[in-house]
Amino acid sequence: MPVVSSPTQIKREVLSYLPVHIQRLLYNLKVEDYQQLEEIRLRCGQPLVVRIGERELAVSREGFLTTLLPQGYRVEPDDICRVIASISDNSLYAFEEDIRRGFITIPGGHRVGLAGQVILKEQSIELMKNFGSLCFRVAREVKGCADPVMPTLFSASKGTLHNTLIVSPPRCGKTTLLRDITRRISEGAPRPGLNVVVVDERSEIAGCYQGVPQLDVGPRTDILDGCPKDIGMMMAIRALSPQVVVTDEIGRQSDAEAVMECIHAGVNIISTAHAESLEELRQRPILRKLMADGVFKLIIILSRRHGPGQIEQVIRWDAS
Amino acid sequence: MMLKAIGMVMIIAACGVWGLSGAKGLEKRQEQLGELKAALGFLEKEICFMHTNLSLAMQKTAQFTQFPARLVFAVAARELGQKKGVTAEEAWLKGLQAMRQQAQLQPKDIELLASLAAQLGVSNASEQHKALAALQEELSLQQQKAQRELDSNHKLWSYGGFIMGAAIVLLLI
Repeated sequence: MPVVSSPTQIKREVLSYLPVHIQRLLYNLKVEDYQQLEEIRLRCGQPLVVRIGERELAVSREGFLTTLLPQGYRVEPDDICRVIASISDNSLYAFEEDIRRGFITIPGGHRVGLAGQVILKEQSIELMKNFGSLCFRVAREVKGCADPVMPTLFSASKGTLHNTLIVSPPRCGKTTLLRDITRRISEGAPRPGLNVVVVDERSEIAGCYQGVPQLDVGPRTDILDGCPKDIGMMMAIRALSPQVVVTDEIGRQSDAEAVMECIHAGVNIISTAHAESLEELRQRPILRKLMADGVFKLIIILSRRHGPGQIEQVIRWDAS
Repeated sequence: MMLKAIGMVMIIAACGVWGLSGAKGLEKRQEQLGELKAALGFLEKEICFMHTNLSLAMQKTAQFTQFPARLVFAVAARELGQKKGVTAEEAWLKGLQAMRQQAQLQPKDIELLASLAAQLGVSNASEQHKALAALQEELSLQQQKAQRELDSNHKLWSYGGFIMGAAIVLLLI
């Protein structure tokens, strides 16, 4: 499957935001390391760490990867300041909402998670300052990863789309699969394309940068970027007349209520949820209720047994 | 005798021009402080209300600002626009450096403007508003002082040069 993340692309879209001396350290990575690069972590006063597939490695001062963290290049406060300046285009004021949510999305759909001093005001986050660590999460677009599940998404008799829930623990490729399903449904071939609304609360599905999707989510897709799921689903029904609503990580009561509204409005839902297995999913009251009500007709369970995106089970769910 | 007369005229003229340029400097400083204050107001609007990215906000401000105050914004916009990891602080200081060679500002004025460097772009809109408003207020005070200096010293500089030239001539005779 074509993993869209060549070394050139990673260098241009991710490494270019790092200070020049750190960029040089990371230029020594091998092509296969770039292809599996998932995270770059900068913690003030701590070693520079990268996650490549299942391995977590420090990057030495000479630019070599090592399992010995103390040998890693020690990240300076100035490095953090420069990265913050770079990812925000020296304009933190233009990213207030993103900072409150704890991350900034950069062109290419990659996300930079932020940690620092959080200032609260009336029980909500007013701002974050004095940043202490940053985590670059490389967005992976794996076109074609949905191919094995596409035939199961549609009812064989009526040809209608099943409401589908993708379930897995974190880092197993739920969002990547969801994105590719969205693209395929929106493109349509071989079935007619459907109008899709993506309610992308954390900018992970479409990776929008200044409102423009950086990852391919298809030609018939509208994106409500940074919008809370429950509000977004209701907005979508009222304003965008979608045939399908796609959203990530449902789990709150308000999400469940919005899902029910979509179903009653005749809109299909494709979503994801965090859980190791069906049993664990059943232990979450809100998801258990949705399943008991027969909202989701198809459940896809993923794991990381043979790398991210391993499809463990495709369950046709019949509540009765 | 003729040479003496020419020499006297030259001394008086040189001192007079020096005095006049001093008077002009006072006028220009007052004008330039006003221009910088207005430009910072424009920048504040772009940052706090339009949430325009800093490099573009600087560029727009430069377009609406007169020389030499324009230099600080134009140079900073160019530095930030290159996206070579330059911070807003570094870009602003470079802009100030470019302007100080062309402007009639005093070191304390430049110091005041440089105090913005560490705060530019690194906080939310409300903090940016506070920093920019405070600097405009400070510049306003500086401008008032410059005006008072202009009122009291303009004539002194304008005529003082010629008087000093004449005094030197008298001493030499």
